Amino acid sequence: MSDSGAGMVSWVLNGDPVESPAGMTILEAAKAHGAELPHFCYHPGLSIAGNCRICLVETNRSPKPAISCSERISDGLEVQTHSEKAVEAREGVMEFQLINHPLDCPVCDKAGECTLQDYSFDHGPDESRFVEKKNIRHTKDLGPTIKIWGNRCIVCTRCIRFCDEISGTGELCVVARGDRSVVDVFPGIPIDNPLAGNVVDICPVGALISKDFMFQSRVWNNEHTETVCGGCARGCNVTVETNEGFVKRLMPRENTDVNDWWMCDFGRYGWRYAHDDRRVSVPRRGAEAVETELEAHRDLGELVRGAWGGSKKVAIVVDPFLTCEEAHLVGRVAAGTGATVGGWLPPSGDELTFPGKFKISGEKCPNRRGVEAVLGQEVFGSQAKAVESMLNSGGVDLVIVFAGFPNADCPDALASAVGKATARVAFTLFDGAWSEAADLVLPSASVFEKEGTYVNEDGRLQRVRSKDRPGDAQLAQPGLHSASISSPWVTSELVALQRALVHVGDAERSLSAAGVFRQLADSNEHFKGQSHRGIPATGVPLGGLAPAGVGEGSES
Amino acid sequence: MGHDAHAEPEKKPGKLGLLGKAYLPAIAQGLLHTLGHIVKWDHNTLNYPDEKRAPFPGYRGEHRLTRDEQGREKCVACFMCSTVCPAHCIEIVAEEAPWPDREKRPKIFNIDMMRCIYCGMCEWACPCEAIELTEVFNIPVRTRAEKIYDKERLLSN
Amino acid sequence: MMEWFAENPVLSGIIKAVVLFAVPMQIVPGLIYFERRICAWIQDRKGPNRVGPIGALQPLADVVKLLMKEDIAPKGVDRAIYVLAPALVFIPSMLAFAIVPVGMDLQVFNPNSGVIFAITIGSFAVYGLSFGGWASNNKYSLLGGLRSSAQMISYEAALFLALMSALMMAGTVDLNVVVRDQIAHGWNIWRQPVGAVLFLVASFAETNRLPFDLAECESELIGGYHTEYTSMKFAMFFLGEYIAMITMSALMVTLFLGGWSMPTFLLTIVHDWFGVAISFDQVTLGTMFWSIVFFSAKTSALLFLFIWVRWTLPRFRYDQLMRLGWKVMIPVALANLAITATVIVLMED
Ligand code: SF4
Ligand code: SF4
Ligand code: SF4
Ligand code: SF4
Ligand code: FES
Repeated sequence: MSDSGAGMVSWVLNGDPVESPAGMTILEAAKAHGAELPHFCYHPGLSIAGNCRICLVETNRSPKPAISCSERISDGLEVQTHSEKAVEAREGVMEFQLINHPLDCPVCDKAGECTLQDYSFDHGPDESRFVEKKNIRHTKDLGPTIKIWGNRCIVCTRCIRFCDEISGTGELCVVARGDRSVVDVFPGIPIDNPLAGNVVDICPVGALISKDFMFQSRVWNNEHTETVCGGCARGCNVTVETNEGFVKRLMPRENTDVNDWWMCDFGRYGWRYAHDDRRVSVPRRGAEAVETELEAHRDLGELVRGAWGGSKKVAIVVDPFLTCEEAHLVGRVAAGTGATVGGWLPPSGDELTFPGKFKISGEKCPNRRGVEAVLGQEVFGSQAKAVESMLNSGGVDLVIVFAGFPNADCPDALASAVGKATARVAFTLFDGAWSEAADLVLPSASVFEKEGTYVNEDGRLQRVRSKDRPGDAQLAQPGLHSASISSPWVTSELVALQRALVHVGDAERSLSAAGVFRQLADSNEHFKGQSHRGIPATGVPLGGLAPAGVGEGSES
Repeated sequence: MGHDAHAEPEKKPGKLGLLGKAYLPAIAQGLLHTLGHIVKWDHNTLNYPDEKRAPFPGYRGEHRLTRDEQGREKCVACFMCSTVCPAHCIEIVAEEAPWPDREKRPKIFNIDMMRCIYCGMCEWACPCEAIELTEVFNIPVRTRAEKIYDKERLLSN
Repeated sequence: MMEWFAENPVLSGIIKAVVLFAVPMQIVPGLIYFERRICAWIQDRKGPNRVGPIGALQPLADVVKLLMKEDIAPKGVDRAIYVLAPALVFIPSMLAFAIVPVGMDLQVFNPNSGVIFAITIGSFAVYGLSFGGWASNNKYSLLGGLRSSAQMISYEAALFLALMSALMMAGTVDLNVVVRDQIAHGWNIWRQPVGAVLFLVASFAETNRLPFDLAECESELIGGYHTEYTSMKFAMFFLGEYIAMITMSALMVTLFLGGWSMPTFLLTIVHDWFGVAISFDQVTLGTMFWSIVFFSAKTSALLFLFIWVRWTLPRFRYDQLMRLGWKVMIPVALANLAITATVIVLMED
């Protein structure tokens, strides 16, 4: 946005002389100096439209108030954000915005995070002078996942600009004129692009509603967990919103290095597997459920102890949903037992890049690079082949399989090999060929229940968090993943592997994910100097890892 | 008060005689007082099931979900009542309403009457006059579960 | 009659024992009923009036309720002591009642040690309370038990000293003689006012009644030593408390209020109304009957006082209780005893 180079501009904000880089708009520069200005149509990720006029401020440049979202700062500019004129102007705009707005808040899903509500409270008049009949606009489906309540639309055109600029699909447009204008799709062309869900997030009011979240909960009741999406290797930063232990929706979190302000619909709506009734929720020996998870972990420890010291032939199959911490623990088990570690990947999808630079990775797993960084570049490549032939040739004493795939089918060469070799221990989300014959089946944690770190395809280390474990102790839905996690700080694989190591005598006690990460940072050059606490909210690029998929051995 | 007492220790009402220190006069006084109450023979108790007091206006008893002219619940599942409820005893699950004039309605609407403190805040918060407190206060049950009223029960109250 | 008793010691013993057990047990429900009614009246309420005419069967309903209640023993209790404790409260109060002459020369048994026996056996109740508190495995119970033992030991001393002053007037521990002495010389309450007040106060403390019910004060200790008791075990504690109350009233009546006797002007009234002449010179059935009536009337009045005080006075603080016991009651009782002794010796001279 700044075309005037590195020059600084001196200007006056509410009487205080301040300096800002040239080329900034008043709104952005004021925000940088701590003065938030209201805005509907302005969005940092979209072009400037300047049509809502709620951002009016008084300047010394013109007798009329200026729209701060498009007016740029210049030397000698004096801005009053709360002068009588500015306040009156905003109040007038607010009154106009509310003229035809329905009193829908009680049934509107935006209520609680609605900017119109907030600004009406902060800047609007106390009461309406509008006694005429409000006009009615359409309420209809715009696409398979999105519905519009036209009455609530303030025609800020954010959604339209998104479809034009970011997804590049341009499904939306404004129809009709004056106070009847409203957002619509072209006849027969629904909005169904892979980024469609974002228009709901950026709609400042409750006009666009996601049918997935519609009426599911009131937003103020949701608990927020800042984590990353597990849908693909992109690792979009998201906030998982849960209510009473149930995932309600995923919202993108701003990270201009990864996903800007957006996320794709695959990730957004792809959380339901975590609440699937078919999930493996209790540990079991063969078909018989194990009384307590502790007992199951002791079983695991017993098996690992039997193979400790390299006397037996051990194979470990890892999945790319493991966190770096869990991979580290797998590495310790492998080192102690002399196991061969290979990995399997879910089938890859299409890689998509959008005009707005947003990218969906074709690799449908979150942490291949992290697991590689911990367990070696060849885990999913030649190592996988080695494990496969080892299993196919038979004579393997202990196989530990990790299958945290969010769906039950994983058509990989290794899958059939594991199935053939009668896995002895399987960590799994869903039952598959590998778990049906297993001696010990342990529930995996879903991405929403993990605590640790992921490395995305660019080699960026990011935190995965689970504040409220979905489905934890939810009596309303028996059979749900519940008993397998003992504390909110750790995940089942993390706990199980550590308990096994304690059982063997290789570890003194179980640590939190942060503690395991400390061990990892001490022992692995890629992670040197990192710590959970030191990772910023938007992640940190990992040293020694090449960005964006160039030259890893496994890809070949 | 305590501060004043420190400032003027002389004013302490502690100068009792020997008899007073033995509490005996005060005890006798108290005994006479209570005896007076026995003798007065003025009993405020109502013989409850036989005699009933008309509830005071604004009495806050068990809840009712109100109905509109067509007999449908007025509630639009806005969660205002459950949000304001200080006892967190209202559980609502919303669903899409099948009616053209309304978008949302409660699929589940439970109030845990054992947890409710009958403060009436839900009634105040409701934008649709869909919930109100009645004068009913005497519905005994045998299990706690029966005191968790569901939508049907609340509509019929 | 008296001869028959003397001739059939075994049979008469059994009869007496049964009466001893039955009489207080019958009085207790009534007492509970009256306590509830009186407390209600004091508080301008009506009290229990639903079961039976004027609610008179309420105690019966209570008994049924107590019997039907689930008998729960919490985890970690010391079983044997836990079960023993209620009996240890109940039995001593009952036994102490045995030596009180409820009518002219009418007592279940009359040991040489006389009233000393009653006091000694009565003190055993403290074991029940402290055992109950100890065995319940509950901090409130333990505190209650501790409090009750400290309290009862403290007030036992005052009680005994006050009682001594009355006994010294008659120069014997035989309660019948004490009563006869009062017939001859006037009630001890006039001759020993200080002793009487001390005895009364100490007996409130001994029975754990308000204002001295710190062992079970519900606002601090839930239920004190009986927090963890339910059903009949709780009822035993309950019974024990009320029987102790009856025993203490009876002792008080005997020692200070002329026992089964009556002042002459009242005897005249009885003579005028009922046409019976009563003389306490010899034991006849009529005199016996009237002496029982007198004794019961006085005891009832005292029981009413117990109830009346309970619903009037607030509870003491524990330090106040201890201060009153050790710093006031015992010195005063000792002084009273010393003065009494001096006066008696001087008068004999
Ligand atoms: S868009 Fe905002 S102001 Fe309008 S009904 Fe919804 S919550 Fe209320
Ligand atoms: S639907 Fe929402 S985002 Fe789109 S123009 Fe209307 S208010 Fe703006
Ligand atoms: S009366 Fe008060 S406590 Fe009861 S449901 Fe309403 S708001 Fe909650
Ligand atoms: S406040 Fe009223 S309309 Fe809203 S959920 Fe409660 S009862 Fe229903
Ligand atoms: S935010 Fe400036 S005009 Fe809309």
